[in-house]
Amino acid sequence: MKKNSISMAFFFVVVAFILTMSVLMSIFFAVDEHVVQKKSNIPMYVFFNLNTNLNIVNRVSNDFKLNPNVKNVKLIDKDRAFNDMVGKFSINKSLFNKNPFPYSLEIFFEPNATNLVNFKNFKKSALQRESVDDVRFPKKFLQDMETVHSNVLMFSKIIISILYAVEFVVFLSITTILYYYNKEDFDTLKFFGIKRGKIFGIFLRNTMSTTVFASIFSVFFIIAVYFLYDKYANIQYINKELFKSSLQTTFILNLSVGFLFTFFSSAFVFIFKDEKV
Amino acid sequence: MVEFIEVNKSFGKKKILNNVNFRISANSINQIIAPQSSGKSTILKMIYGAVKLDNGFIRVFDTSVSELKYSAVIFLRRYLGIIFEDIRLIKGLSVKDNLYIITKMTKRDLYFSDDVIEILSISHLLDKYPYELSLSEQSLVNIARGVIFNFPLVLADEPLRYLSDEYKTKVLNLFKYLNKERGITFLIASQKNLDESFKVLDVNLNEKK
Repeated sequence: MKKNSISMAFFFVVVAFILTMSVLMSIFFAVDEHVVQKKSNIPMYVFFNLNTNLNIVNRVSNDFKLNPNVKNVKLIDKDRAFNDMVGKFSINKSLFNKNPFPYSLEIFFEPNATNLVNFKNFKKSALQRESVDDVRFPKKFLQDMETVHSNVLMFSKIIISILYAVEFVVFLSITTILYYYNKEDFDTLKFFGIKRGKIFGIFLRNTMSTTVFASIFSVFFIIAVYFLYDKYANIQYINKELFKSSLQTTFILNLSVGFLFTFFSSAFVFIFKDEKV
Repeated sequence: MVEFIEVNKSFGKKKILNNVNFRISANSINQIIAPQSSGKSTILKMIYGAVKLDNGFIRVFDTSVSELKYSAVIFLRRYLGIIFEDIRLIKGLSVKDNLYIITKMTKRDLYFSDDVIEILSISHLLDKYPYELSLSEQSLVNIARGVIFNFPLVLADEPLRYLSDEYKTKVLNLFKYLNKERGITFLIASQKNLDESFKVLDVNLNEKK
């Protein structure tokens, strides 16, 4: 069948859907990843008693590393901390008759474990150790980051859900127009004894083939976007590699959603609009 | 071959058919002559099941159309040649595909009468699309599509409407040829008598309006 102007319109609707949703979702994804990375950089400090020796500190450190929520544990040597302090503030070292700094650990958690509940639980269990004197972390900053993260997630989900819903309505509308454009032909085929199932097959092939062409076009278009973005563009707070890898994932996802939307909108339109003439 | 017994049909409050009775025997060419909008097309549509009757009885071949399920109506249509008043060529298909779509879609190996193409002089149109044809050319393809597979009954709704006198004669001769040589039965709806040799059915549509 020759393509008509409504099929062309449908073609551009599918292209616009795949591209806008893929780019938008990958931006959301990259922003979310950026926030998660920032959040997971929030440390927890474990301070040992002044008389705790290095062997005990290392043992506790190794214990903490076994915790699946812990990403990294960094030992802060008390001598180095003392030297750093006197160096930084130009203090005469002889004023101190002994090192006032204890050994301490800087602990970083996995992104999904970097939250207030987990930090509080970890602090509680760490304080049960005799060698541990105190546990500190930037509570307010962690709370703020959690709020920002949940807001980013919620905003992304709401926007994407609304856009998917709107896009499905657009798919439904354009397939309805496409159906009515071909309705007379479909009815004529029925008058020649052709079953409705076969006519649905023709209609589906018509819409699906348009989606296939739109997908192929989108692949070439997205390659061009990659190239241009790589060469000339840079979005603040968005890692290029992360953006590109998430774009691949969201592109494949939206390609599949495009086919699903085409199938379901074609089926809905045919079920509700086609008549037994 | 076709029989109408006391068939009634109304669209809303408007009575279109009131106790219509007629019978068509095999191997004949029949005409329903009546003015525009008097119900001629409705009769033809009732035969191929596109319009349901209110009451009465319609027999086509050996089946009662009013009692058929939709799937059976679809099956019945495979044995009818239909020439539509509004032409109804499939717009996305070439003329050749328009002619072949009936067999292609129903997977039947029907005899394709090449002589119809020759008689109507449409061989040069086969690779064209409907939008490339004039109205009279489209009408000729519509007529060819209705008769090309030698269906036993051809329903022709105002088949000569868009044709020049020269082509009107060609089409009427084609109908006579197919009737005589292949025994095809025709039911033609028209506003005037197309040929004295055709049987005029007494359905008195305009009296019952």
